[in-house]
Amino acid sequence: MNTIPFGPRNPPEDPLLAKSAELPKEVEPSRDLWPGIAARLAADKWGRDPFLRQEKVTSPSFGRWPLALAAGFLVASVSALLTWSLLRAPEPAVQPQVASTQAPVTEVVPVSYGPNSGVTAQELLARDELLVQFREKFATLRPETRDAIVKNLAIMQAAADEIDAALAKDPASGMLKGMLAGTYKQELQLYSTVVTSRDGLTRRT
Amino acid sequence: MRIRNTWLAAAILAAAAPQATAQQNITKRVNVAPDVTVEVSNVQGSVEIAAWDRNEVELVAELESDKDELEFEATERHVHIEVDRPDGRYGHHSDDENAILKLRVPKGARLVAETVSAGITVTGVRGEQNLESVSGEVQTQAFDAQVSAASVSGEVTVTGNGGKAGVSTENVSGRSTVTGIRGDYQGEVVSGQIRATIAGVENLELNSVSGEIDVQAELTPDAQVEMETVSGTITLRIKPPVNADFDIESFSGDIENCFGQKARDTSKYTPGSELSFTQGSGGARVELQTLSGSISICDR
Repeated sequence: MNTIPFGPRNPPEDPLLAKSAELPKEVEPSRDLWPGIAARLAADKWGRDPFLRQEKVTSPSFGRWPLALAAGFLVASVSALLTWSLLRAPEPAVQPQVASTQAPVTEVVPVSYGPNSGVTAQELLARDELLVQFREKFATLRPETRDAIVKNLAIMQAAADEIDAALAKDPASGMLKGMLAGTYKQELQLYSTVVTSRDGLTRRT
Repeated sequence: MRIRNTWLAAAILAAAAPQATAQQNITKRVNVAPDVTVEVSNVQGSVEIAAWDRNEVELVAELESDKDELEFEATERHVHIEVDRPDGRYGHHSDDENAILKLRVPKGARLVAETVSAGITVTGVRGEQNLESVSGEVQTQAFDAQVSAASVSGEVTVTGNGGKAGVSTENVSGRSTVTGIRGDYQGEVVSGQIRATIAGVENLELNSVSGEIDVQAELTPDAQVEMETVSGTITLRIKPPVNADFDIESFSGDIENCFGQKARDTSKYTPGSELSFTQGSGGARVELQTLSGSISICDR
C-alpha cells in the first residue's frame, strides 16, 4: 500500500504538487457568456428583479374571477365547518391534552457486557428474545415501576462494567466470572418477573 | 325548597354511584389439601397471605378498578389466583387503582407469588415459599422449609423462628434483612445490602458486587461460609467460641481482624493482601474474598 506523507516538501519530490503544477493557470469558458447577461439586464427596464415581474405575469386576470370566487367560498365553508365541529365536539379537543400530560415511556437499555465478560452470542440472543416480550409489558407498567426498572438496569450495567474491568486484570478469576454470571442471571430474572407476572405463573411452566 | 334540594342531592349521589361501585369486592373459598400449592400473581397493589388452621384457601380481593378481572382456579392440590387488567394498561392515569389480595391458606401450603409493584407479606406459612417482586417489598417468616425471596428494588425481610430453614434472597438495589434463622442462607445483591443474623450456620453463601454485607453468625463445627464482593464491604461477626479455619483475600482493599493475626501482602508490587489462620480448634471453614472492598472479621 502506498502512503503519502503530509507536510511541506519540495514540489519535485511531491507527486501531488508536481501534478498540480501541470494544470493550466486559467480556464477559458467554452462560449462567450456576456451577451446573455446583458440581455437579461436590458429586459428589466424598470430596474426591478426580473423574478418579480414573472410573478406579476402569473397573477390571475379579470377573466378568472369566477374561479377565485369559488375558491374563496370553499375556504370560508371549510373554515366554518371546522369551527362548528370544534364547538360541537369538545371531547376530541380535550383528548390530545390528556395524552400530552402522560409521561413518555422511558426506553429500556439492556445491560451491555464487555469483551472480558465471556457472555456468549447465544446467551445474548436468548436475552434479546425475552427482552422483546419484556418491552411490551414494560410499556404497560406504572411510571414509578418503569423508573425503578430503568434505574436498576443502570445499576446492573455499572456492576457489569466494574466486573469486566476487573476481569481484564484477572481473566481467570472464578469469583469475578461467577459475579458476572449472577448479574446476567439477575437481568434475565427481572425481565422474566415482569413478563410472567403479567402473563400468569402457570403459563410459564 | 328543602324537598327540591333533597332530590338534587339524591341525583348527585346517584350520578356518583357508578364510581363508588367501581371497586370489586370478591370472596372465594375452597377446600384443599394441607400441602396445597397456591400460586398468586398480581401486578399492582398488595398480596397478603396468612396461615390458618383450616384446610381451606380463602381469598378476599379488593379490585379498585372495574377493568380488573380475577382468575381463580382451584383443585384440591393447586390454587391459581391472578389479577388481569384486560387492556394491559397499568401506567395510565385513570387506571392507577390497586388490586389488594388477602389470602388465608393452610399452614403447610406451598406458596408461589409473583408481583411487579405489589408488596408481598406472608405470615405463619410453614411450606416452601417462592416470592418475587420487581419493586414491591417482600416480607415473610421462615420455619423449616425452603424460602426464596427476591425483589429488584424493594426490601426483602425474612424472619425466622429459630427453625432450620433454607433461605435464599436476591436483590439488585434493594436490601435483604434475614434474622432468626438457623441452617443455610444464600444471598445475592448487586448494589443493595445484606444484613443477616443466623444461628447454627451450616452453609452461608453471600455475594455482592458493590453492596455491603453485614452478618452476625453462630457457626456449627462443619459450617461452610463463603462471602465475595467486587467493591462492597464484608463485615462478619462470629459468636464465640470461634473454631474455624479462615482464608481471607483482598486485591486492593483492607483486611481487619480482631483475632490478632495480620494480613500479609501477596506481592511487593501490588496492593493485594491475604490472611489465612485457624482460630480455636478449627473445623468450620470461612472464605472471604473481595477485589477492592474491605473485610472485617471479629467475634464481637
